[in-house]
Amino acid sequence: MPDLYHINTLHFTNTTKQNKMKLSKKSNPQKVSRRSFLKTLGLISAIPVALPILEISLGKHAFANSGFPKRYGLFFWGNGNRIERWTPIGEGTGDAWSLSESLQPLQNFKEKITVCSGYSTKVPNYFPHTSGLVGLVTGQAATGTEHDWTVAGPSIDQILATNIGQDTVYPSLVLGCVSSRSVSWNGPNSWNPVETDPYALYERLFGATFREPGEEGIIDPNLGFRRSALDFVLQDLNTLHAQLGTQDKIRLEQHMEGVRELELRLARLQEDPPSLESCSRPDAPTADYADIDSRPQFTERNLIMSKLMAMSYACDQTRVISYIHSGALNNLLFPNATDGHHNLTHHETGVQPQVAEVTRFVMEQLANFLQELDNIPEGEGTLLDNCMICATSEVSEGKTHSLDEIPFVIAGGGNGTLQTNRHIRSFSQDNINKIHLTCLRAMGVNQVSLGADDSFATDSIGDLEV
Amino acid sequence: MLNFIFLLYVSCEGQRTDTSESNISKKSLVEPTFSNNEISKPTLRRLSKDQYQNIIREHFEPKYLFAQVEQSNVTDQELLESELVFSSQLEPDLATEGLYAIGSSVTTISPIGVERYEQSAFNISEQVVHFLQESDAYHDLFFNCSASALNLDCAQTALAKQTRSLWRRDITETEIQNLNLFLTEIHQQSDSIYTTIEYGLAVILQSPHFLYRKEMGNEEGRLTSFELANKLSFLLWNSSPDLELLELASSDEILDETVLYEQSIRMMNDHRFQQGLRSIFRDFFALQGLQSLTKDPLVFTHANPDLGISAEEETLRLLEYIILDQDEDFRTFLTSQTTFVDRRLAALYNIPAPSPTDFAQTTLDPINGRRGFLGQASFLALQSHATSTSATLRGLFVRSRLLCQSIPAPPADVETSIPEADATSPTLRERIQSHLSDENCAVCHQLTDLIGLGFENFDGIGRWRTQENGATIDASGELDGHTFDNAWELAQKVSDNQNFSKCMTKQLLQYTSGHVLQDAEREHLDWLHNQFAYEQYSFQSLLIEMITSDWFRQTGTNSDEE
Repeated sequence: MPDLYHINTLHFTNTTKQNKMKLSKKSNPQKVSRRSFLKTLGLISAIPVALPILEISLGKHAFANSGFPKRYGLFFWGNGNRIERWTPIGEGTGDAWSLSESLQPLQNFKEKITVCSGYSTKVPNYFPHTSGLVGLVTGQAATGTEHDWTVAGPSIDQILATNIGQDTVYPSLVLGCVSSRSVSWNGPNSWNPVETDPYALYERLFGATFREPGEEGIIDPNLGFRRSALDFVLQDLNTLHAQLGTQDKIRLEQHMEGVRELELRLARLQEDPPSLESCSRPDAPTADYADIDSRPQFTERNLIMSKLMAMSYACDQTRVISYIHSGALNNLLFPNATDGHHNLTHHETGVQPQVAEVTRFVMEQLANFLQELDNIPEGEGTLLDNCMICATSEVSEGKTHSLDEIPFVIAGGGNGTLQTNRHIRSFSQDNINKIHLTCLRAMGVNQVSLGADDSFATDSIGDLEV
Repeated sequence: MLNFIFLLYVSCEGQRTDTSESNISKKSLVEPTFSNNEISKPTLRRLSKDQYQNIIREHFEPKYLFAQVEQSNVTDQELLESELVFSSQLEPDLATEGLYAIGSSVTTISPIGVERYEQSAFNISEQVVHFLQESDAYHDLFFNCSASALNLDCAQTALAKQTRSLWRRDITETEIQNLNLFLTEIHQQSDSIYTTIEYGLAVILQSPHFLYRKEMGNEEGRLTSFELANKLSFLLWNSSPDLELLELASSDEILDETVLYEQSIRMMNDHRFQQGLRSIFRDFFALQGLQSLTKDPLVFTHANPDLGISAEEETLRLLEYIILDQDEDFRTFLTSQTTFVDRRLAALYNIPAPSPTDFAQTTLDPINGRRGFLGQASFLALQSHATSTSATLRGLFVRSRLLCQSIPAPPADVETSIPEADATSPTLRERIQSHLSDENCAVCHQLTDLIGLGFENFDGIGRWRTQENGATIDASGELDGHTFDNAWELAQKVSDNQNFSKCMTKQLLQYTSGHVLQDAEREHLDWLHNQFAYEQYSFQSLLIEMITSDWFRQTGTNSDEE
C-alpha cells in the first residue's frame, strides 16, 4: 500500500538538484538546453542574459529556422458579416488585390495578411449558429439534438495543443474579450471554458510564479508541495477510475489529463524560463472594465487582452490561443448600435448598415491585436511574423446563417510558412478544412486529413503555402 | 458517422395535446416496476458551483458554524460574522436538455478547471488555517486537542474526520493511511503543523471523491446506503449529508423506508431545504440567465444592472411562500396575486413598495393585469430581447419549460426579419404576421407566438403597457384551442393544463436522477403525477412520494457497455 502512494522526494529538491532532475527526467539527453547545461557546469555567470539566437534555441525550446517558435491564434467573432462589403477586390498577390470596405481597418497590415474567400463549412446546417460553429472549429458536424449536442472530436486549437503545446507552460489558452460560448473542445462533452477576466489572466500568466528570462528570483518552495498534492489527487482519480463504466471512465481520463498537465506546469516553473529577448513582465490590468449602460467596453477589454496575449506568446508561455472577440449568437450591444448584434442581423432591413459597421468595428479590434503583436521585435522581424492568426466567424451572412463564403483572414505568415499579401478566392465554395489543414501542417503537425463526410479533406491549399 | 436525431420542423404538427382535466380521484397505490437495465446507467455527477460552495460554507465558515451552535460563549464579534471568500472562477456548469442537473452527469473537468479547483482548494484551506490560528473557539470546532497542544497526531485525527464528512461516506483504512502518510511528509518537509493542515485540506478538496457524486449502485442495481443518503441531501439541501444522515448510512438504517421517510421530513424542516428548493427551480425555469440580463437602458428606462437579481429573488420567494409557508397547490405559482417585491420591482410594477429596505410580501390589486410567475419580470424580461419583447421566446418558454413540449429550431436558412413598426403595423401582432401566415413558419410559430402575444401588455422588461406605437395592444390568443383575452386568463389556462403539473413532475425526476427520462420510466412519471394530483399538488408531498418510491433507490447497471 505505501508503494501505491509515495511522495516523490524529487519535488523538494533545491535548485542545483533540479538541474540534475531535469537531466535524468529527459528521455532524450540531447533535449537539455545549452543554457541549463552550461549552468550545471558552473559557467552560467559568464553568459550574458541576452543570449545570441544560436545559444537560445537548442533543446527544449527548439525553435524553427528563424530561431523563434511558430504561434497559432484563433480570433473568433460571432454572427458573420455582410458578404458584399467583405470580399476583397481582385485576386492574387501584392497590388493585384485590395481591401474591401469591411477590411479597411487592416490596411496597415495588408502586407502581412492573406484573405481566403469563397470557402464553405461543409456540415449540415441544422442548428443555426451551432452547426456552423462546431463545423468551423472542429472540422466536422456536431452530434446529438438541438438541446443536447456535442462535438465529435477536438477543436483545431486542441489538436495543436496536443501536438505542439507540450513544451510551453500552457499547452493552450482559451480567452475571451467578453463572456461567450466556448470555441474550444478537448473532445465530446469536454469543452474549455473561456477566460475573460484580464486581471485573473494576468495573475495566472505573470503572477507570483512568473520569472522573466534571466531573473534569478526565488523559486516558490510550495511548488514541490503542490506537486505532491497532485500526486495524491491522481491516485484518487486512479482508484475511482477503476470503479466506473466506460463513459464515465472517459470523463475521468480528461480530468486526469488536466492534473498531469498542471503537474508538468509546476515542474516547469521550477526550471529556468526560456531566454527570449522580448519577454518581459507586462503591466498589470488596473480597471475592472465593467459594462457601461449594458454595453461592453470592447476596445478597452480587447486592448488589455491583446497585450497579455502578445506577451504570453513572447515569453513562450503558450503557442496556441483561441480568442473570442464576441461569441457565436451573441446579442451584445456594439458601440452606437440600436439593438443587440444577433437581433440586428435578423431584424435590420435593407443592406444592414449597422451589421456592416459591427464587422468593420471587429476588424478594427483585430488590427489592434495585430498591432500589439507587431510591436514586439523577434529577430529580424516581429512577433506577428512568427504567428498565424486566423480570424473567422461561424456563419457568413448572419441573416441567413449561411455556411458558404465564410470570412477568413490569416495574419502573420507563421514564420515564413504561409503566403502573405494575398487574396485567395475559391469560386467553387471549396472546403474550409483545407485552410485548417494548411495551417496545421505549417505549424508542424503531421495531419493526414481533417473532417468527415462532406467536410473530409486531405489537401492543403497550395497557393497559401510557401 | 452521422448520428443526428434531427427533428424536422414540420413535426410541430401533432404537438397539440389534450388539455382537458383528467379525473384523478383516488390514489394509485401500486408503483410501477421496471428492470434495472431499462433505466439509465449509473451516474458520476460533478458538483455544481453552488453545491461546492454550500458544502464548504457548511463545513468551514465561522459565521455559518457559530450560528448553528445553540449556546456559544464566543464573544468575538468579528469572528462570528466572518464569511469565506470564494474565488469566482470554478469550472462552469453546463446544461444538457435544458437542465444543469443533467449536464452534471456528462461534463468533464477541463485542464483550466483542474487549475481552478486547485486554486480554490488552497484559497479555502488558507482561510481555514487563518481562522484556526486566530481563534481558539474556531479551533475547538475541529480538534480534540487544545490549540497549544496541536500536533501531527491530533491534526491527522481531525482531518480524517473532515475527509469522511467532505467525501460524504466512510473512508477506508487505506485512504486514512495514505492521507496520514501525505500529512507526515508535508510535516517533515515544512516543519509547520499549519502548513500540514493547509495542504491536507487542499488535497481533500481536490480529490475526485469530493468533486464528484457517485451513484454506481450494487450488483442488484440499487443505491448503496451512502449513495442514497447523498442523493437525498443533494436533492433537499443541494449540499452534503450532515453527520446524522451519514451515521444512518454507515449503519445501513437509511435503507429502511420509515427511516428514509423520517429523514426526509427532518431535512425538509431544516433551513437548508430552502437552498435545495432554490436550486431546483433555478434549473427548472432557467433563472441563471437573470444574472446576466442585458437590456438597453435607452429603450427601457427602468432597466438597471441589478434588475435580474431582484427578479430572480421575487420568483424564488413566491415559490418558497407556496411550497414552504403555505404548502398549497403548486399551480398557484402561475396565478397567485401574492408576490414579493423590493423597491426596484415595485417601481417597475408601478405599485407601492411594501418595505423601504428589503423584499416584502404584497398583494397585487385585482384590477392589475399581473398575476403569478408569468406576470413577473423574471419571465417577462428574460424571455425578451435586449430592446424589445419577443412573442416567440415567451411562447417557447411556456411550451418547453412549463408544458415540456419540444419545438424545433427554425431551419437555418430562413428569413427571420421582423419589419419596423409603421402606420399599418404598429404592434408586434401585425409585424409578425408572416410567422403565422407563411406555411413554413406557421406550423411552429402558431404554437409559440399565439401564446407569446398574450404577454404583449408587458414590455421587454415587464412593465405594463396598453399601447404600442399609439395603437391598442390586443393580447388575446389561444392555447391549444382554448381562447383567452389577456395574460391573466392565459396563466389560468396554463395552470389548469394537466401538462403543466406533469411537466413539473417530469422535470423533478430528471433533476433528481441527472438523466433524460427513459421510455421505461414513463409509467413511473404517470404514477407520480397521479400522486401529485391526489395530494392536491403539494410540492412537498411530491418530493416525499418520489423519495419513498422504489424508483428513487434504483440505478441502472453497466451491463449494456462493452
